Amino acid sequence: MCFFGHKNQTYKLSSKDDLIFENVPEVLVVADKNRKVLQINERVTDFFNIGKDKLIGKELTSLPFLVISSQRNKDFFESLEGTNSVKGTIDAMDRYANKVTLDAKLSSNGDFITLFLDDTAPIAESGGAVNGLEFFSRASIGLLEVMSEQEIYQYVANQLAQLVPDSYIFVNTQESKTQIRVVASATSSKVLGRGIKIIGGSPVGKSFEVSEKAQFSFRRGKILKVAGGVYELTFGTIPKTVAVLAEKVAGIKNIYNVGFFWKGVLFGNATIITRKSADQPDNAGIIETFVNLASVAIQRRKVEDRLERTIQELDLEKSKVLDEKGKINTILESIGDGVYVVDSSLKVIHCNKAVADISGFEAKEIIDKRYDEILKFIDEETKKPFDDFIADCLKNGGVKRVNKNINLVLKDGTILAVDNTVASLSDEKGKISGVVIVFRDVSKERQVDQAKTEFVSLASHQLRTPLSAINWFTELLLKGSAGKINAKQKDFLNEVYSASKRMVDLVNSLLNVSRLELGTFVVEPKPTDLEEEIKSVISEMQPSIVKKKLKVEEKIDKLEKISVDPKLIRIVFQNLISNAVKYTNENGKIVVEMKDEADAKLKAKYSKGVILISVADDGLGIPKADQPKIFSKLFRADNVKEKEVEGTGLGLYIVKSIIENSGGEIWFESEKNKGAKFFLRLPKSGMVKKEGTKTLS
Amino acid sequence: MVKKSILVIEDDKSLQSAIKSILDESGFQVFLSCSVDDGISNFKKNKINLVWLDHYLVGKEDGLDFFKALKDDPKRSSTPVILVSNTCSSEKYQHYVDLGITKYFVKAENSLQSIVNEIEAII
Repeated sequence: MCFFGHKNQTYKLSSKDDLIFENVPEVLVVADKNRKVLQINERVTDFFNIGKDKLIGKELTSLPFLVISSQRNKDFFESLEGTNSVKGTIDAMDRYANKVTLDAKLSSNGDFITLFLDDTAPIAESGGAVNGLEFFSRASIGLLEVMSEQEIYQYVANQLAQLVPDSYIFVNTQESKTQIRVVASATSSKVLGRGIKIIGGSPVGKSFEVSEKAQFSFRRGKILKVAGGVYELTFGTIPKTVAVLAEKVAGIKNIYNVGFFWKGVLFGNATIITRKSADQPDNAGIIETFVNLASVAIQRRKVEDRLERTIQELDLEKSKVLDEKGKINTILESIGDGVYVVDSSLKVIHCNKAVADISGFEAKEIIDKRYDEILKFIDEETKKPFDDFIADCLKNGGVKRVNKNINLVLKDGTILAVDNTVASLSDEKGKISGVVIVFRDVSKERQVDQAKTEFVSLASHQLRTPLSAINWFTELLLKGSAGKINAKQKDFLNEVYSASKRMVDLVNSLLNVSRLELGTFVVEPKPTDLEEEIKSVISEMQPSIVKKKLKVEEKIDKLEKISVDPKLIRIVFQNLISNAVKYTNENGKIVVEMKDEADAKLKAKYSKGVILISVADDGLGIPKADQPKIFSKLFRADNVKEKEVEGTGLGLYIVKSIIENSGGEIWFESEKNKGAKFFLRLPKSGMVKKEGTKTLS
Repeated sequence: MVKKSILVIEDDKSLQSAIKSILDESGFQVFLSCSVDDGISNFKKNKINLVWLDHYLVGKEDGLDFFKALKDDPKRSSTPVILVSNTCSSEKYQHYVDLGITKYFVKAENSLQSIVNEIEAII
């Protein structure tokens, strides 16, 4: 080494020496025997980011980039004592202030000392030619066995590392935002590790953003081959000087990118950093094909994953549906009521166990038959078939409880009292697709009803007879049949007489209630003049009206007669008008109205028209809290009980039963202490004749 | 003036006495029976202007049986009969109407006097 010139000379290098000096791949420092730095090459600037001018004249052992406190450095420099040359390592800080341990060589010829700092390990030779075709076959087959997407990326990285020795492989995936790093050979680890740092620190993040140009190339499905170093490849944020340094220092000759694509969309890339050659990797074509194949595998994996998820979801849905169906079936089978379904073609399509248990027919005998072929319902009174409700429901929809005593003919020919409810089933478009018929054995209830009827009949007889005796004997006493009575006796007897009359009313009302409830009351419709009935009831109440000085206003339109049972309609008017009289204070006002209610909205319900009747008073009214219960049996509002106005709590219940049995409606408007107004709608079609055993009284 | 006579067929003794009391007071001659047989025999023995008939009577037969028997006897079939009952069903009542009952009163709902007034109007 003579290019440093002679002792005590100015150290000006010849152009030839300079060329050599600057092209030494290591950092080269020349110092005099006192360890004062005389010359240093440009590599120091690249490597440590410090100008050589700032180093010349400094003490060799305490150059700013050396780790001052390092024992290693101290030992190294001391080891030169008594010898010409030593090799070892020293600790330094690189341009990024990272502590690095560099191979170092210190030599002395007595006048000068040279220090070589080398961070580049010998470049390992390629691990032998890899047979591309063999690699491809093996790697491709392996690809088929790889399970998840993430595993495919990892697999690709591992395979590429095998194919391109002495390389550093990054695989980035756009979806997971993760990066897989594979170091191809153990020997390159350290070097390329440094190289990566030079390139731009952690590869994850900004430094790995792919440039537009690179992406364009990726999309064309090509390996991006960049000539002339790192910089132009992709990592646009890296200063050119650094890129050059990467090549020079790390020995990186090329960086290749190959994209993972599917239908023009880039979803990942593999970056192969090599130090071997500035040209494409030997197996560039294979790399490209292999990555393309992996892209397909990943896409297939994606599709399969989606498919699998969809199948799982479907399975879940299916099991839910099955669960639901199972639940419904279990419920249907476990309920004690007979439940069967008739479709729109009038065939029975389903029946539960209870149908079979009750009827004696087996399900297979019933299913697929016309609805009236096996299960026969008959009217308890007439013994004639009675199943119109099924066809009606199929035609008109809705839910209906069959309001008649009907019987089911069992398989053995005996009959059973049943209670039926029918409900329509609609499809998604709201079209009626079938009906569900639910029936239950009510023979016990019917027996109870029968007993109740008999009891009521007996009670009515038994109660009325003594009441008649009380009435008649009181009457005779009042009449003086048993001798003259004084005024006080007369008052008392009148109390007895009136109490007894009330008792008769109560018994009558109770009888009516039981008849209405049992359905044993008779309906005998005949053309009835409603106005006449109303007027007659008002005149009947005249004594009370006069006594309380009430004003009764009649706003009654002349209407045609309608076919109703005059006895029943009279009970309705009597209750409503007598309530108005009872619950109105002296000098109060009662308004009775009747008119034809020609409202288009009501046409659907009342095809033949409807009559609206109202009875209004300005009396006690019904307290809000009591309003919901006002039509309940035996209910009396608190305010009327306080006033001790007579009443049984049965009147409105009876009225509502009669009106609803006649297909009409009843409702009211009321405010406490302002009065009440009762409305009722009577269909012009009138009442339907009903045979029964009892008339209402 | 000869008193008009009324045959009262009523099974309840206390009611019988009340009825007899008012009819006596009203100037009628009263015959009392509590069963169909007794009623028929009373009817045959005496000249009766009107029958006060209850439906339920002592024994198996009821007022309707008496009424049928009466209607079957041409000599007596024109005698007016009023039904005074508490518990006659509408079905039974219809039979009475069909056979030509003169009037029907519910005991518990009519005073004795109102029935007497009706009787006076009939005979």
